[in-house]
Amino acid sequence: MIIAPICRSQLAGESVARSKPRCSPAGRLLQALLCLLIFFSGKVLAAETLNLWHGYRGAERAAFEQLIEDYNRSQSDVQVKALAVPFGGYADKLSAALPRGQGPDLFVFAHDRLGGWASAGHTVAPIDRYVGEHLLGRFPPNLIEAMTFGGELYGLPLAFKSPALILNTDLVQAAPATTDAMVAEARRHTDRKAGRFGLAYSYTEPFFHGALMNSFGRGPFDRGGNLDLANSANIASVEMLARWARQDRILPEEPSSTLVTSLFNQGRAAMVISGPWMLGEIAPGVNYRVVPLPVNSESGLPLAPWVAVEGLFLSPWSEHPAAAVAVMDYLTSRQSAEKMAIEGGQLPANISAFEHPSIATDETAMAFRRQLEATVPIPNLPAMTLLWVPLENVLKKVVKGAAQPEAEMRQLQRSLSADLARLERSRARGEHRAQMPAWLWLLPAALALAAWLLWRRYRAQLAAGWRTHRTAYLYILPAILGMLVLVLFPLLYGLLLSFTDTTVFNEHTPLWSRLIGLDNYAAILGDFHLWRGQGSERSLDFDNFYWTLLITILWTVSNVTLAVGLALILALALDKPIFGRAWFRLILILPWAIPNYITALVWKGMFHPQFGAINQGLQVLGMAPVAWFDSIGASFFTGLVTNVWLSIPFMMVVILGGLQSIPRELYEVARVEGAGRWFQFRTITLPLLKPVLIPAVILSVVWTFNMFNVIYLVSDGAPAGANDILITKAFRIGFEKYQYAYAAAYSMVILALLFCYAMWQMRVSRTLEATR
Amino acid sequence: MSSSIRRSLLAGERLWQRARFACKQAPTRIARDIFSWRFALLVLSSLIVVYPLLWVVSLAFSGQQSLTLVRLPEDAGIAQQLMVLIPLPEHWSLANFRAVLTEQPFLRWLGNSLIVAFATTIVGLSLSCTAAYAFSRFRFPGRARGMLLFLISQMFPAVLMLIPLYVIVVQWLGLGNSWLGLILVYSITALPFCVWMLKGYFDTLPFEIEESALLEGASRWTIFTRIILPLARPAIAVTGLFAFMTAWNEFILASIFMDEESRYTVPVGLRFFVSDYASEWGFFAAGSILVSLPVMLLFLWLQRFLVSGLSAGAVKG
Repeated sequence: MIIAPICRSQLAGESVARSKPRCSPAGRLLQALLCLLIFFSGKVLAAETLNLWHGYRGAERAAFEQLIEDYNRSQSDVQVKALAVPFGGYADKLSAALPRGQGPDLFVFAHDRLGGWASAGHTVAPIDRYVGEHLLGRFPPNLIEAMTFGGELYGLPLAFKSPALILNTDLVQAAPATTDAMVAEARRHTDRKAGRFGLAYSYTEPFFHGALMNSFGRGPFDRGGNLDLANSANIASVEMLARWARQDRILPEEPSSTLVTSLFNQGRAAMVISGPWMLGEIAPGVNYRVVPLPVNSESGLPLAPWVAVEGLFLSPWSEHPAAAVAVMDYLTSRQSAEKMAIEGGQLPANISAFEHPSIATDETAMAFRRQLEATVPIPNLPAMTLLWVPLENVLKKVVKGAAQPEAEMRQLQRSLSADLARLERSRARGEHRAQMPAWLWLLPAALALAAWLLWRRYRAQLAAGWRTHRTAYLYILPAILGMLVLVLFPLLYGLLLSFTDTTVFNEHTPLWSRLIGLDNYAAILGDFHLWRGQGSERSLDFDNFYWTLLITILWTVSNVTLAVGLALILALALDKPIFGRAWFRLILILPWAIPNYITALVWKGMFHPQFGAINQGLQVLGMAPVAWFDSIGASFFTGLVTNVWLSIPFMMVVILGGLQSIPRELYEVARVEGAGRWFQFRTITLPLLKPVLIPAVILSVVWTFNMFNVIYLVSDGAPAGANDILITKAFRIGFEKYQYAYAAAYSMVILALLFCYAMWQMRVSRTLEATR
Repeated sequence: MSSSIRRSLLAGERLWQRARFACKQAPTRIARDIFSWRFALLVLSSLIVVYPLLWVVSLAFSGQQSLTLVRLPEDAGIAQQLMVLIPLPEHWSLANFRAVLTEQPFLRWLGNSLIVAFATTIVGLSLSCTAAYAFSRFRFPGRARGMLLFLISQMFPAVLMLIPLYVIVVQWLGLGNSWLGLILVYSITALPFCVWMLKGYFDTLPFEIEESALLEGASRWTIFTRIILPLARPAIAVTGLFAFMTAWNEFILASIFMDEESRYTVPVGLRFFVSDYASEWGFFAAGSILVSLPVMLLFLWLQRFLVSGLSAGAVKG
């Protein structure tokens, strides 16, 4: 707490209520005036406000906000205002706000994104100059290393989270010393038919596989930070996992954290590898003990899980960096750390807190503390972000026996190297900044000239048009204006972006030094590498654009056909009065009413190969269970069922509404004429429904084509990205590979495809001139 | 707000009364209904619709955060084994609901969402009704292109609109952290569907009524508000529901735009229960059910419009 008083005295004079520069120039002017007023009236506002964002909830959050409140009360110069942001939107919120000079002064986030932020620029600021040796002495060196990128310190660690071994002490008493002992113990407790497993953890997630990978002594990157996946150590780690899953058969299939927790709570998993986050969910009756992970029998080194470090980061836009660092200092002090540990259940990065009597006697906390000695911080290199999903796909394939570890790792090394080389090229281009080409000045001038000429040429015509059709234009004006503002600009932005090679590394360079013309489009449309690998390794390349396009078209056609067909049948069934009609209607729209995030995940759970209701139902009926996420067809089916289930209610409501506009008399006449039901449907219902049905179909094609959630949540492109549709692929390219421009080009291709479809559809059905 | 809920409840009550009345009145008709193919189809599809939701309900009422995995009894009959697959919590408990409602300002978020969603519905409907009317009834240059423009806006992937929307709404318009920004974005997001749908419905309304009204000297605006809108009630109900849902379930924009917890909408609040490592699915399920209640009440209330309109209305033929 040495820095705090200094900076306070520095800043006290100029303290002004800090409101971020989020408002328009006019707003800022007003603000300046206001400040002047305050200044002249001789009153200096008491405190400056620091905004702090975090993602905590529950007890952790209560303890954290209590700390902040204490801080605010302890002094009057700086008031910290905390905002909790839900995890799902946190990263997006930061990356939307920070590079644009908005957002908080400081924020709490996991450290593994640091490399990306630091490379992108304008997102985090180094804090070296505010931090003294004594402050760094609070933390173990590996946690400081996690906060460091490119030789600069970007934040202070607040807490750490790493997995350890959790034993169900009713089944396993002694902590296994080696992996061999652990596997032997696990085999004793495994009875697959009864759904019992010796060991359960999310083993296909790279975060968890890190424990094995690091224990062979290498890890995914070499000392220089270059990708080094296919070395013998990493391959050995994948082979070991494959052995556990396929020979020893001690692990459940398709693990997820929810499944692991459920198994453990029901005494069906003797040991699990999980972190502190799971402790709150262990059922009250279950006796457990946390111990550090065993030593790898093959390499003789301890299993070294990856540790995620929650750090306090500083915004480069903060007007009071020193005050912000003083808050960091306070939050990581021993006192605060003890409070966070005792009341919030956190594992504090300030390890002196573990000396506190009530923590030192807490066996669980101390076990994680001991585990910390053997952990490795998740590499915070930008390249790590690229690794998560492809490595997960590799692990999934290998544990299912669909691929050989060595070949698969080599393949992964090759494809990731190519992606990284792309990023590297963009960085290189960004470094020697080009002068703004002269023709770029001409472009707006030419556009303005063209606009002026067109205006001259068509002025009379336009004015006449306006005069004759003024009512019509007035009616549509508000809607069109809104559309233009909120849609045209994003579209232009996307279009412009797609002509550049923008990645995380050159985002901040001026636009003209990123322009590469049509290269992205050429790369997408000219992607004819349908196969990858040679000889026996040869397989379809699911990253290929045309494969993804094929899947997208199949996905859209099957979804829309099924949804519209079934919705039509249901709407017709509900159209005429029937006993309980109102109730049926209410029940049938339920899937629309309940947030689809949870229902999609319920469907995913129902498709679980071992514990899902669908496979269990099949088994009861004497059929063989299906491995839903292993084959392309089955995995496609899971997404299809979920999406149809989700979209029927909406379609049904639309059709129900449309059926109301059909005059009943027509049917009466038809009946009198002796027409059958089918004939009535074909000649009355369908044609009169068309004006409503066609737009609904067109729109639902567009929506299904871009249906991100269901694919992402249910099958997640399984197996190995084969079931990704264009939009999920664009998302992966943009957010998992940092190639923003390439993703934008993908989106423009999607737009062009849909546009062609819409033109074709409208030509076919002539809806625009429907009834006249 | 509470009065609308009360009215919806009343509507539900009335439905129930009507059903009971019908029971007394025509047992034979009901029997005929129940043994029809149509009824069987509806029952079957209701079961399919309800089954996954039962998992949500049972998770919400279990008082736990993860579901008990089903254990099939070894030597029981098929029927018994299938019964096990029906998800029911071991102990019914309201603990999850209590936690959701008390640990956070959930009701406040729900209120925020109601404000945003209703405002979106109103803004969206008023913009789209006028536009759709013009597209349906007037012939003017740029009409087809205008319709297409609405469609194009739906084709650009929403994931990549985040940053540009942030730039416009927060930086240019200065509408960050205000509901107005959200309402604006939501109603314009809902516009394309609303315009296309309403235009479709308006096309089905007979022109003769309007022509005779025009002959009698009514202005376009009078025709629009007095004749077209009342006739298009089913369509307005459907599109209104759609606009409402657009705002009601949106999560990502709301969490990016709002900088104060007291202004969060309810989907943002719900997501607090889901995180990278551990998720409290029990709370999430309970919250989801709470979130869906207003939608169901709204639908109950809207149902009356789904059965009126041209066919049942005053202006026949």
